[in-house]
Amino acid sequence: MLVVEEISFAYPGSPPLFDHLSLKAGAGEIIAVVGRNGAGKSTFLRLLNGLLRPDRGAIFAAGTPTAKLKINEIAALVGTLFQTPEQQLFAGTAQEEVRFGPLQFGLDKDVAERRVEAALRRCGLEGSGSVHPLDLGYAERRFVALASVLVNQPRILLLDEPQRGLDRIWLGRLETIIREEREAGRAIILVCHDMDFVLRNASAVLALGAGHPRLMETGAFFRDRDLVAQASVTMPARLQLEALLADRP
Amino acid sequence: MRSWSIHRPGTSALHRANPLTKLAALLLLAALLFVLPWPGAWAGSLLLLAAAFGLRIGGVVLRRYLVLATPFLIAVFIFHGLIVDRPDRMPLAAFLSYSQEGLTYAAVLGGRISLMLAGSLLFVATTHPAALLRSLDVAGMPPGLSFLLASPLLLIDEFTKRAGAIRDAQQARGMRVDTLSDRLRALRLLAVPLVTLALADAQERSGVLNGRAFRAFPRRAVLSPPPDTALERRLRHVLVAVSVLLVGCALWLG
Amino acid sequence: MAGIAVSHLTFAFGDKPVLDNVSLEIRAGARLAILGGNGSGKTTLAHFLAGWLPDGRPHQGTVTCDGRPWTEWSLAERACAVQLVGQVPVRHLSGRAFTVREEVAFGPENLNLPISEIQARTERALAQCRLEQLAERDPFTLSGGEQQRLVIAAALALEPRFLVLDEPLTNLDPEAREHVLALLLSLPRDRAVVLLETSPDAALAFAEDFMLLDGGRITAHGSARDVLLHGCAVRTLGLPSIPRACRELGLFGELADSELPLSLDEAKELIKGAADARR
Repeated sequence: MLVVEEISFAYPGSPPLFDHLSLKAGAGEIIAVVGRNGAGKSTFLRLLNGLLRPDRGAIFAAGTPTAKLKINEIAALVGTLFQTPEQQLFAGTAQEEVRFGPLQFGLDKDVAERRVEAALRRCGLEGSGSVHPLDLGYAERRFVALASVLVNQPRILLLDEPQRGLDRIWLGRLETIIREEREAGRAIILVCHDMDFVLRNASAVLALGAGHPRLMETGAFFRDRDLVAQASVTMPARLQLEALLADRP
Repeated sequence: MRSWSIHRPGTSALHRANPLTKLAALLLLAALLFVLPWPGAWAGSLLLLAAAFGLRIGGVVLRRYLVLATPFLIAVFIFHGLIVDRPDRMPLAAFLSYSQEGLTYAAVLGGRISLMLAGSLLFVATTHPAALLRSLDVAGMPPGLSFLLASPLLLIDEFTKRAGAIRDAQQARGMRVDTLSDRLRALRLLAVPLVTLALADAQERSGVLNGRAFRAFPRRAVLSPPPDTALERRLRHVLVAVSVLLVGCALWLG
Repeated sequence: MAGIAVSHLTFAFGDKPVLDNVSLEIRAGARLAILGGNGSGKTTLAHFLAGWLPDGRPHQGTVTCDGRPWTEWSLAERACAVQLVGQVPVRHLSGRAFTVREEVAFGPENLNLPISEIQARTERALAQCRLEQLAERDPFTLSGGEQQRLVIAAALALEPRFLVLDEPLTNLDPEAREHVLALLLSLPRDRAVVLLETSPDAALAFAEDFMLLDGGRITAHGSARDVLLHGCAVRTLGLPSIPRACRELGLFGELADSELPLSLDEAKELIKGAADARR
């Protein structure tokens, strides 16, 4: 579904963030991208959705090389939920916000409306369609942004810190949506600082800023103590407890 | 360095002068507009731009001058010289005609704009906005007024970032920016949320300012006031007095 | 009484009820965490605690400090009594300071204090928040964590008796979160600190006293164990990470939620205790 082949990238005047980075994400895979601040996690997502272009290497979304596509064409295949999406909402109502994507892709009006309603329902926003996004709470705004990405039914989902600041109920809703998307065969790339969330949801981990990044199975990543320390991430609580149990006489 | 700023640090007398003194000099410049004939105004602009080069800030001042002045001056000359109907209209070429009176008037207007712009740019390039604000506080200017000056300067970059974030989100949801009409549409989609965000921001920031006792008193202390001397204070008085005199004479003599 | 007292506070934004008959007290030296899910009324309560509300809006009940409603306090008096730090630090910058030092000095300058006093307070606050190296930087170019420390420093420069922080850690990465938590823990006890949070772990790391705000009402008050392992908190916020991990691993299955260990150390003790009991 997503193939990254030997990409390299550096911001002008800065040392390279990526050097010959490769990975593959198949349908139904959830890859967590972790690492300390400044390691290039959000930059990596911007390379995948076309807002940035790699200096070298190639990216293939659903088999199509993204170098040949414009950003709005990549958007048909790759959906992005940016960090603090509350600051990127621009429509007058939640419905208009979610409707934006389908309209850009020239979808039939009725089909678009049905998709909009379905997306709002999935995101727990049935009653809030006609509310101005700024009049919604923090979590609702996050989910309006999520609905407006889901409505386009992209094959690849990029989620940048989607879980931040959510309480249990909204977190549960998010994890359900992630599971549903996985079961529908999407590939999901998840940038995340919350290692408990990573442990619960991701099948593989890409640790940036730690030597030569490569994709590892989630359990294998967390078992590698040195790598975890190099990536400057904390051990999930469950694994800390398991370690405690393993140490007991 | 902020993206819009043309301020360049330096050690010239102009750099070191108190911002209020420089403001008084700008006031004199404005007063001169009442008495200077148009060739004088243009000569004055050239002099000020040359002075900028002498202060090693010529490049940045000239660039900003050209960007700001050129469209305006072209418009003024076309409008008054070629479009406005005047008694001394003369044919020029094809359907165009020109008026000597109109061109002269454009030269007067253009000269005034040019002189004030050159003076203002010289001021801005040699005065850090923070120093200006501090000097206004020291002078007892109402804090709210100086805030109105400062906050757009500081928040422009914030809003540019916000606008960029909105545009990225729109593109990542399929918005096209290929044709001119696409781009105009994109601008329109950007304008409304930015204004809404600005208003919401303004409300929250007013809470923040109240919380930190802004405008609790008519005057506020200043931790690092810009240097000032008795000589500069006397010079300011002279500059203001001469300005008032010039304007008074100009109005008296009609 | 000396301190902030909220008495039967009921408030709605238009027709949307937000706070319902809230009563609480914050005394000197408090280390209080008020936990609540999204939309529980935390930000509104924080605004009332810091005197930003009612702002002329209709409401029932009172919010007083030292027995006087905030509305009777002058701007200067209130600024020296309470300061509010918000979730998005860039929105809490004054918009009038070109350097970090200016931002910190902004409050004391507004109070028209003597220059030597302004200088002393500014340097103290910069040192307390470890911002000395960044003193000449433009506040808008700092990272999120640095900006949050700056907003706290700017608040501390006014030497308030009460510091109210509305989800100050939510938008920060783990490293920045550690720095800000360490800063809060290092504050002298003569300052009362109230932390409003969604994350039970953040609250656990800092507070000694806990309250649960649910649907605009205070539904629990007490120790971490009383509140964080309380049914209502577990439903809206989830268990803190260690008790949650215990449940996921099937550890201490015989214990009720309220008896689970809250930290790794407590877990270690329980495991050791169980092993000793078996022997």
